[in-house]
Order: sequence, then structure tokens, then C-alpha cells
Amino acid sequence: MATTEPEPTAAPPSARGLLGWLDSRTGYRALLGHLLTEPVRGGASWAYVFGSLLLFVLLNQALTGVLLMAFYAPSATDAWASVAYIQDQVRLGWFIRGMHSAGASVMVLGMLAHLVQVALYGAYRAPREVSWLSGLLLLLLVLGFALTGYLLPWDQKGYWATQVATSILGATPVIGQTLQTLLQGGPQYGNLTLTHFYSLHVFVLPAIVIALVLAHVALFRRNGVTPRWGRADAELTRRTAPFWPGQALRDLLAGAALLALLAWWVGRSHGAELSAPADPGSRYEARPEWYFLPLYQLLKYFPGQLEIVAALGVPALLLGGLAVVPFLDRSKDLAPRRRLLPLGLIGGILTGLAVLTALSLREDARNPRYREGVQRAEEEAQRARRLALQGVPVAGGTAVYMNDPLERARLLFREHCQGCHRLGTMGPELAEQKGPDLTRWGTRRWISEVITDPDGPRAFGHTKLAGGMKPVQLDKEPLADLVEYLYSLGGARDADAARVQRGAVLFEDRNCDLCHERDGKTAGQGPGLGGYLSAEWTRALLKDPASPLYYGSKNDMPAFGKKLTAAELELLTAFLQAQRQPN
Amino acid sequence: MADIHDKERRSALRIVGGMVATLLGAAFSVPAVLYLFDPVARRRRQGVATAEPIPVAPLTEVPDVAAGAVPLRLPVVAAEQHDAWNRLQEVRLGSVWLCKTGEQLSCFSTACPHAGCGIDFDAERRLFICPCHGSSFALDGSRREGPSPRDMDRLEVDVHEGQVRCRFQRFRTATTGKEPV
Repeated sequence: MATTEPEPTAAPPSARGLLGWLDSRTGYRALLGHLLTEPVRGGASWAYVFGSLLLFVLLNQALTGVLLMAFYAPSATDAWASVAYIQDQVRLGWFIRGMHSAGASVMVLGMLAHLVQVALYGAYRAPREVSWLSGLLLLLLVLGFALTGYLLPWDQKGYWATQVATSILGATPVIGQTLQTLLQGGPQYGNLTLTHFYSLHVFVLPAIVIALVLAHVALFRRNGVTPRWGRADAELTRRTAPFWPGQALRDLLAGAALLALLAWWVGRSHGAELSAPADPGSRYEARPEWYFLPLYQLLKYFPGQLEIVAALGVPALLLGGLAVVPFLDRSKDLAPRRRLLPLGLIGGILTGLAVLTALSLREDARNPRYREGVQRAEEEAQRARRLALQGVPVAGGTAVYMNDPLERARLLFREHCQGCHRLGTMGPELAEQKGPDLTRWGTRRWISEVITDPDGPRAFGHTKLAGGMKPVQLDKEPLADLVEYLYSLGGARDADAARVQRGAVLFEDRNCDLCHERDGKTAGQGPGLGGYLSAEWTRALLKDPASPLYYGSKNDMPAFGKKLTAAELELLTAFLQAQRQPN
Repeated sequence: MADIHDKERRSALRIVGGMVATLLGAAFSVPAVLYLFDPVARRRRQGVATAEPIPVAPLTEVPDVAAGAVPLRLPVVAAEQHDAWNRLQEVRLGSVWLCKTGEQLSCFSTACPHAGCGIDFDAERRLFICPCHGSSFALDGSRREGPSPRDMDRLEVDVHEGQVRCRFQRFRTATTGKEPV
């Protein structure tokens, strides 16, 4: 048998220095010795590292969690903005957040590994039943951490995924509504939801987990390791060695390797995902984090009223199944092949979870709508985070889009223009448009459509101007020349000079100039084309479309010169000009 | 013999164990410290922000203390301001005491150079008084009594289109020198 550490003796402080003094007053060496010299029956083994690995990951979660708290604000208006700030602006913020987020996944994986090792070695058997049960409770708590943490960034992903979880909770018979309101801090998601989840995530759950982990470790110390089956007692006793340094070194090396792997993964993926700010009015292809996929998949098979069975009943059944394992396992032999019933139960449960996960992943991989949704969400996230670099307006979250001038202009368009004009997906159907369709407004294609069919429903057909102009009838090439000329009037830089020249001749040959003036000063019978479609032309038109330089007495459009501020007119002008740009 | 060998092996393991533990601690601490010190690095990188002139009052309304008037206490409101992740509009940065002596404009930060409390004006004694620790200052901002280490902090002013504008800044407190922060 290996020797244990010599008992520390209290010595006068002068003899042992500062640490000696501290020891004589606190006895810390004896405590440390007690912690480190625990005999490991049968000697150190790599099979025992899983529990310690979980402690390393827990330490990682605690440290990165505290660091994140220093820069995070749990309010519906600030949460997303502060996380975007951590992710994109604080030095190494992406790394710390990535370690926290990936650490959560590793925690779940580590718990599964720990569970499998314990099951295989029969370490749950009497007298270790309570260790096993407290472990299951810790597994539940870790999932609670995952659930509450997922919402905290208040991004699309967390918001929608957590909505599903709280709705299910709300569907619990009798107490559901009360439970949901209590957890959310109100009937709907808002500031109180975040503060509630935050206090659970950073205080309540950690306090319970720390207490349970202490109990779990104390129980382990009381009962010791369960060595591999098939070894004689005498051999086990002969090989028994203290925890430090043999087992401790294995634990440390495994922990270092795991954290290095985690850091490598985080570096490679540049941290955790942050989707666009939560928008209750949007559609989003919500999926939970991978460890909740089995439950998510299960919900698909239980319609309506039975959902609660899938969401709470099935997990309760699985957990119950795992909980009774130590009481089922009565065999005298530790060898796994003699313990087929309990191991089969655990194996069956894990296989079931894996199959559900695989089904869920396969369905999504085969669903083009889902893939498009993911792509769209990714683009939106990039855009929101780019705009957040300018600082998020105090309204928070989705107000970040207001940093984009085109977005403000789009709102103005919705407010003032879409009643009559269609543009992209905004505005009325073709038959109900009262003014020209402004989709791709001012492009060559748009000009060509307007001059070849000025009374068409996409042009001026529904206005008082209908019948005012004869459609241009030209062959393909001359038409392209004329269009190019009109396109060039607003100072387009990409106009083809040769075509413009030929088009200018056509403009006069075809008598366009009899009605359309081009100096921007003289009023003609038709709208003036001086600087046609340029920013100046557009701005002046928006201000006063009834001006004799534009549509005169036949004008139907309201004058916006007084309705909008100069800045708003500028935004709207820029927005319309942007339609002329390719893409 | 085997026992001695075992002892050597164990002390070697002990050293390796200590080293791994130390390395792990360092690997944890370096990114943590770099991350936490981001505000310090940011400040070093950006330096002290130049104060933009902000209109505080029309020139015609500035009281003449030489003629016995009382200085005006005015809020300084920035049109736009950044605070970590937020872009804020119409933000109160602080306030100033504004007055003139003849044609000479004076603008003082209301923050006491001692500990940053808001300085009041005592109309009877015609002195600026800090209510926290009793520092008092003359109408020209010069230190009279109390613990303040320096005179009131004078701010740069100019007149633009009839408006008095001040460049609002905060200064380190409790130092004899006037150092912008």
C-alpha cells in the first residue's frame, strides 16, 4: 500500500514562514491533505475523469458567466444590444461568450458521458443510489440553465425557441397559466421575463447546483470509486493509491485537453451565434438547441391536447425509468453482460433520444423552406449587427434597423406612398394601384415599360393622365436607344454614349420634344424631362407634382412639400434613387 | 527499493500536476483580464473626446454679475451621445453656471473640483457654495474656503449666431491640476 502524506504538524510561525503561520491558525494543510489523499481503490484510472471534467466545465461556466454579467443588461430594450456589444465590440467578448455557450453544450455531453461510464461500471448500485439520483437532478438543473440562458440575448433564436418552452408550461393542466405568468413575470414576454430568467440563471440555479454538487461529491467521497468489474479484492487493495497526484493528474490533463478543445472550437467558429434582435412580429424558423431536439421532435407526434403528455409526461417517464435503475439492478456480478436489464433500459432511453434527434435533423435537412429561413435569418443577423456598430437607439432591439436611412425611408413609403403605389412587396395589387408601379423605378426596364405602354396598369392607366401620351412604337434597337437617352437625362454614369446620342436624335424625330421640355424651366404639355429621374427631379416632383413642370392640372398625387420635413423628403428621394441601382 | 522508486515517481507527478494546474489557471486568466480591461484599452485607444460646442443660452440672456445679477444655472444637452451599446439623443451631460462681467463671458462646470458635488450659488453672500463639503468660490470661480483643491473649472465658450455655446467637459476631481476625463 502506498504511503499517505505525513500529517502536518503545528509549528511556531517563525519556523515555517507565512504559510506556516496561516496553517497553524487555520489548519488548511490538514484540510487539503484530507481532500487530496483520499484513497482511490484499485488505483487511478482514466475512466474516473468524467466527474472531474464536469467540475472543470462548471468552473468555466461560472467564470465566463461572471465575465459576461459585467457587460450584459437584462432588459428587453438593452439585452440584444449589450450582447451584440459583447460579441462585436468588447475585446475578446466573442471568445468569452463562445466559451460560455459552447461550454453549455459540453456540459450536456459531459453529463451523458458521465452517466454512461457510471452505468457501465455499475457505479449507481447500492450503496450509491443517492449519488445516482442527485446526478439525475443535476442533469435536470443543467437543462434548466440551458433553457434560461438561451433567452438572455433576446435574439430571434432565443426568443422563439423559449416561447415554445413557456407555452408548453402554460399548457399544464390547472396550474399552467399561473406557472407561466410567474416564470415570465406577466402574461407576455417583456422586461420582467428577462429579469426573471436572469435571476434564475445567475443566482437561483447556481445556488442549487453548487449545493447539489457538494452533496454529490461528498457522497462520492463517502462511498469511493467503483473499480472495473472482474478484479479480485486483493489486487484492488494492493493497487489502491491516493487521489493526489495519480488520479488528480489524470483529471487535470483531461480537463486541460477538454478546455483546449473547447477553446479551439470557439476560435474556429468565432464564438456563439447571435441572431437578429427579437421581433415578435416576424416569422422565424425556431429550433431549440441540439439537446432539446428530441423533445422538439416528440411534440410533432402528439397533436393539440396531447402535447402536454409529450412535453411533460414522456420526459417524466424517462427520468423515472433512469431513477429506478439502481433499484432494478440486483445482480451479484458487476460485469455488464450480467446486468442486461438496467443497462438495456438506459441504452434504450439514450437510443430513443438519439433517434429523435436524428429524425429532427433529417427533417430539417430535407426541408428547403427551413434552409431558406435559416439563410434569411443569417442575413438579417449580419445586417442588424452591422447597424448595431453605430449604437442602438434607446428603443432597443429592432430599433437598430432605424440606423439604416433606407429603413426609415421605407417606413415613410409605407406611411405616405403605398396607398397608391406598389414597390416590391409593398402597396396594392395591380388592379388597385392608383399610381405607377415603382418596383425597379427609374431603371431602363421601367422606363421602357412606361413609354411603350403609358396607359398600362403598371404605368399611368389608373390616373387622370391616362390617354395623355401615345405609346412609343419602335423596334428593339431604336427603343433601347431612346430608353438609354431618357435614362441618361438624370445624369446616370453608366449610360452608353453612342446609344444616348442616337436616342437624342430619335427623341426629336419622334416629336417627343413637342410635349416634353428638357430645360427644367419651361412648362410643356407633358411632364418636363430636364434631369429626368435624378435626385433633384424626384425631390421637386415629391414636393409639388401639380406644378406645370410635372403633371399640372391632371395631377392626382398629393404634394408632399408641406407634409414632410426636408429631411424626410431627402430620405424618400434617396430611397427612390436606390431603386435605380442594380440589385 | 520499489518503495523509493514509487516515491520518486510520485514527486515527479506532483510537479507535473502543479504545472498543469498553473498553466490552466493562466490560460483562464489571460483572456479574462484582456476582456475585463476592454474599457481601459478603449479609453487609451480613443483618448479624451474633444468637446463639441453646445448652445446653452442666447447671448442677450446672460446675466451681468458686475451689475449685481445672479449667474444662470443651465443644463447642457448634447444632441447625440454614445453610451456603450446605445446611441442616445438629447442627453443631459451636466450643467454649467453662466454669467458675464461687462463683456467678459464666464462659464463654469457646476461639478465641484473637490468631490464632484453640484455647486450652488448663494445670492446673499454672492458666492458659489458647494453644499457637500462647504467649499466656496468667488464670482470669478476662484477658490475661497473649504477643501476644494483648485478654482472652479472654467469651460471654453464662444458665441455663434447669437447663442452662447460651451464646450462641456468633466475634469478629474481632488487634484490641483485641471485634467479632462
